[in-house]
Amino acid sequence: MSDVILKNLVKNYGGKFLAVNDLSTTFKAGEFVCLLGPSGCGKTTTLRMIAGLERPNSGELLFGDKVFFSSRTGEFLRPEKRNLGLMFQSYALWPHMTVEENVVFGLAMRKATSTEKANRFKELAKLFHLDGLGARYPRELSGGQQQRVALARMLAVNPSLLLLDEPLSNLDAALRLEMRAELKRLHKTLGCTVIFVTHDQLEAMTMATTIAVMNKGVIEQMAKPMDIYHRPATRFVANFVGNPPMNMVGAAQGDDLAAWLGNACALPARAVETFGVRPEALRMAAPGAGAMEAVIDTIQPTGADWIIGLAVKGRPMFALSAEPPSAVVGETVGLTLKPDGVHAFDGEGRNLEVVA
Amino acid sequence: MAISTSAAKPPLGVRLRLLVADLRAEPSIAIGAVLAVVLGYLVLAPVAAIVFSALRFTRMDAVRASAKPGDMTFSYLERVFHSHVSVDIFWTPLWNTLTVAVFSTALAVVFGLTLAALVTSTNIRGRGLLGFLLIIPYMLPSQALASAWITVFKNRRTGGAPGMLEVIGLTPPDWLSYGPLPIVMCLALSYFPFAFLLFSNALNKIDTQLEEAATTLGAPQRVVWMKVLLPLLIPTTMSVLLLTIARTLGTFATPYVLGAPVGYTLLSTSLYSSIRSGASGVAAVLAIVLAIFGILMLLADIWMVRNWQRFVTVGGKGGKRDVAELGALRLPFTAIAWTVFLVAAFAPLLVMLLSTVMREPGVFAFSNFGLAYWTGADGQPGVFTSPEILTALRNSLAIAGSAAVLCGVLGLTVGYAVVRLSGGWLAGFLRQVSFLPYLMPGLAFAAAFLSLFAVPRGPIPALYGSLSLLILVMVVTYLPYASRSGISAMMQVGREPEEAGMVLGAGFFRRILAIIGPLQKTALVTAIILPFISGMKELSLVIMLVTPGTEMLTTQSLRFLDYGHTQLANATILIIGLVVMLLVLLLQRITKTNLAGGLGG
Amino acid sequence: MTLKSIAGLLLATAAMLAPLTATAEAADMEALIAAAKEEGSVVAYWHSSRIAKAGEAFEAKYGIKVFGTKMTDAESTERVVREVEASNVQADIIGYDDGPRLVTELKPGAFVENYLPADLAGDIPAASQDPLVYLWQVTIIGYNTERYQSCPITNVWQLTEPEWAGRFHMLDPRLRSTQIQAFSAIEERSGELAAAYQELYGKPLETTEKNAGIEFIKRLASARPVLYNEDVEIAAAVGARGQENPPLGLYTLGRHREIETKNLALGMCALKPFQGINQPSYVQLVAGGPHPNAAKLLTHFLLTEEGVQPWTGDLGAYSSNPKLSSNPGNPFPNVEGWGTTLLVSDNAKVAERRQELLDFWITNNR
Repeated sequence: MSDVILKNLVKNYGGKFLAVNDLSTTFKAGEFVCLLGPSGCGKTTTLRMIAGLERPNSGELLFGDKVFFSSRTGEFLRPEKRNLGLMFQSYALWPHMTVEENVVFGLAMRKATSTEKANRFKELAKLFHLDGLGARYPRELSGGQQQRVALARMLAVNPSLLLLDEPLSNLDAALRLEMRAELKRLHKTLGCTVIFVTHDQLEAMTMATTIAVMNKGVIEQMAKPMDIYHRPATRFVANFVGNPPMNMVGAAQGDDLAAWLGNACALPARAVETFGVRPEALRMAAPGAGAMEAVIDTIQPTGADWIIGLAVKGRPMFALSAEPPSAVVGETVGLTLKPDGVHAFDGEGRNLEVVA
Repeated sequence: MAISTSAAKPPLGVRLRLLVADLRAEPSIAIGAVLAVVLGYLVLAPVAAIVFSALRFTRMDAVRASAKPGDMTFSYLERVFHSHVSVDIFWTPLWNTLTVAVFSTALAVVFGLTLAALVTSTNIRGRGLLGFLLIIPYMLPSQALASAWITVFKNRRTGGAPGMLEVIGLTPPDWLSYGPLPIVMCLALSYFPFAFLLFSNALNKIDTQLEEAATTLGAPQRVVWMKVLLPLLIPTTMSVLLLTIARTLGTFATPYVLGAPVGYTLLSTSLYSSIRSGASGVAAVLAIVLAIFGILMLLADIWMVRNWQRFVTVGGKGGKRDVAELGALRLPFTAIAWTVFLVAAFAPLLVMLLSTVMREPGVFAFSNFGLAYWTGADGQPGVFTSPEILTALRNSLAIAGSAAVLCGVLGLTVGYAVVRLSGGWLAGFLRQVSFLPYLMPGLAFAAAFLSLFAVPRGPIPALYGSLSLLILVMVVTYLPYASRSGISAMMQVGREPEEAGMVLGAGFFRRILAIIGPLQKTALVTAIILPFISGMKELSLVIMLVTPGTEMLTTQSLRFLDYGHTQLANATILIIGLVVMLLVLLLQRITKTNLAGGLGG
Repeated sequence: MTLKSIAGLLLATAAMLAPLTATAEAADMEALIAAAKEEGSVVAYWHSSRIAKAGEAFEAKYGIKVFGTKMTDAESTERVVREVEASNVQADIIGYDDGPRLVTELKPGAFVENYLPADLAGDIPAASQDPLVYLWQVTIIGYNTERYQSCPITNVWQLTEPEWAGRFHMLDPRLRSTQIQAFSAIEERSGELAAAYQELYGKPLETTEKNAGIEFIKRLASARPVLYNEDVEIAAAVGARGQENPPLGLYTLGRHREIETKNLALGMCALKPFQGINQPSYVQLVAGGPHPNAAKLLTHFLLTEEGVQPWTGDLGAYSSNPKLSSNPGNPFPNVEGWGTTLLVSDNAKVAERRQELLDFWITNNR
């Protein structure tokens, strides 16, 4: 088992668009790493560079002591030689091959005998519930089955590193939940390193052991999921992770709302540029009961809880409540704060607690 | 934000190692580079040759002007645009060309739109069958209708076998036999299937929800057509207009056969006579004018695509349009549709066929019928025994066939390189250069090839008089179609299937053999059959390049017309039609689609 | 330089130095044949497809293969010039109609060389020796013998009368250089044309043009003759039976064989001051061709009975060697017999005037 080490990786396209900008990090062996970020943040490029499908312009990329790429020595290991597993968003199953042919393709490339191939397919078919589907063609399968074929194809050659590029985005909600569980179980049984690219924070939060939030070609924060949520290093991370997103309030001097939030954090107020409040940290109380008042604007019950649109001092904020709201739309309620849900960011977007 | 490594450039050895690694990892770089060099030469060299010969003295003119051959001159430009003969070599042909283009295009659009509406959206009788039959004129070479017209309307003005009307005692006036009227009619009838195809396609694609929305708001059928469907067809109409005009500008056979006897010259025939008489400077200027027209059409098309995007209606959910019940009008409309088929396809074919089985044209006596022209009689060889026709058939199949295979493979290779290298300048260059021949008139391109490859050039031996020159020029001319379809086929498949193989350890050749190849099987067959069809029908491109041993069916049929053997000309055209029809049926079998797909060439 | 070409050069030098005695000539001839056989084949670009038949006869006689390709003069000029310029000469010998281009472009540029077989120098008329003419072909004006007892006109000026407007068929001067050569010859015979006019209409020709020839061309062009690419159709249009108003046409006399084969009713007009064109065809060696001796031998062969037979077997074609026979159906057994009834152009004059004459034709043919 080896770490994936990225040193000063740079990738630009046509010298214009900088996709990955001086990226240095280490993905520890055995981790389930999620690269999370909005589209265009460089996460897929990073994954494709690890797979070898893109060559970085400069920097170094190591897998343990194996050099994948180095602009210092001029080494570049072709993807064919890296022995990785890669799963595409579209699965990229070959429509002209049967399920079995798809799955054992990698073994065929490694000159396996036909018995070896048949046995391995039997094993994998059992593992991924594909029994009896070997002779079918991909278009004859359901989305979930296609996904499992893609997984089986990737795992058939016992890759030392699994790379997954938004593999769940084409599935419906129920199937997605099931697959999340399956991938998590798989990671546990195989114990190998997984790098998983997604823009869906829920996927990242639920599956990853480590999340790397990317923005504009750099990693903003890499940490355990709960730390990402509760101790976001930057305003970008704080805003990107969490649903409904964190409420952002400008910290202008002499503002009641800002002063109220400032009390909750106990940080030097003059350094603060923006306050962030997790929706679940906003608690409603009877009118006059809290230090702050708000008018209920909308109520969206999700079943499990309620998303409540508030107007606080004329500013829109969202609160998330496990209890039904005590008032109806248009009525005024009091507000209290759960202090650990309030964050303060400086002018460069850094979380002041984390900086401190 | 500075890129940290850009400060110190790595040493040369390291950069070389990386370059080698890149080339090994991405063979499409090498493929693209080779393609760029080869295509660049094959496409840009003729274009440059045309431009040069427009501006430099030929040997013939240099002697008279006491200059050196190759000296720079504007005399050809002057001769074409501003001399006492420019009216004859340029302005009148230009006016004639525009007249013919406007009228034949207008007619083709009217026929095409009416018939497409009738066949796709009404209950006229035999619509399924008509959908195929109306495309037949498209499968015939462009001189077919002209030849059929001559067979019927030829008068005593020209020699050889007399026309059918002449024989039964009616002498058609010149304006009916030759000149603008027959040219316009023949072009309109041979180009309307193209309009018909595009309009049918568009009508089938329009989201029926758009009509349903109008119907639910209380609009009667007539209003739905006037206010919803016809306006939605405006972009299609525009592209049909442009494509048909572009084709008319370059058309050669019809004006040659029907215009020459009365001296009605178009730019294309003026270009032909300039080349034939050795006035290559003037020919080059005319070729450039035609190419500029091509560029204007292309720009207009680009402009339109940009400006009419709001009319894009693809991706709708609506089902198949209900056919309109025509009621009392059903019979008359059925009659109209079938009449067009009869006039445009059936009658010409019948006339041509009849002419080949009648000893004396126009004499409908039983004893006058016979297979003499097919089997040969009185010591004269017939179609089946004529060495000329058999050679031409063999040549046509060999030339069009090999050009088609090369074109198909080349097109997909260009597609592969462009898709793999997308975003890079190499991909952009390949795209542009492979599209350039689209703008050059076939005659001019052929002339440039003639002068370029008559002698050995570098590794290429002298090709004139060999089949390879014809194959080469055909490959280059059809390249725009082939590479366009190759690019779109590769785009559709995308990079991922290949990358999946890469990651699983498949090297380049394995990926091509096991993944890309099988995935592009149908695309490849289509990319071969379509140029094959065009090649079988091609005339203007090859007319300058064929030599006695390399005549093709199309040029042979024109020779027969030149020598007054109308019957043999017609038989030759029928053979072409038959081969093309077989190819079309084969194509439909393989792609499981109808023609409406993408007949471009 | 290969051994072969050295041998050829020595032989050629020997041929020139040899005294002009019959035995020496025979010896030269044998040396030439031997050198030609050594070369084995010869490549010919020809103005006429009958080079194929002549080539077969040549191969039968000498065992030397002739690769003959028919091409227009414009095409063969283009190729020869490019081949010589690129020093990659494929062709050895050309058969050529466009005398003007030959004397103003190909010869001055040293792209071709004239070769007159020494043993025939005494037979070939001096005017045909350089550039060497091997063939004369007669083009005439023909009429329909079914409709007319004799030619309906007697004077070329009648062709410009309204009666024959649109009823005279000829090759298109824009496509065929031979027509321009004829125009130049017409210009040269202005005096005779003026006299013929006076004789026909009894009054002198009034013209604002430079001369009577130009005036004639102008009137002919304005009468809108029907123009063709090939003369087969002209003969067919003139001679087809059952016509009420058959046209007159200008075509090679050789077409008269179709009186038999195609049942045409064709007759030749005798006109004043000329009734047709006498068109020379030239044979030239390509400079630096790979088979110079075989090319010389072929030139010699074309000036013998069997060599030129593929052409002279037909009506209206004569070898430039007056000793050779011609088709017995010809009105005159020798080309000289036609005298001045045929137009013969001067190459240098044509070269000088061709563009102007063509433009003059085009502007008056509107």
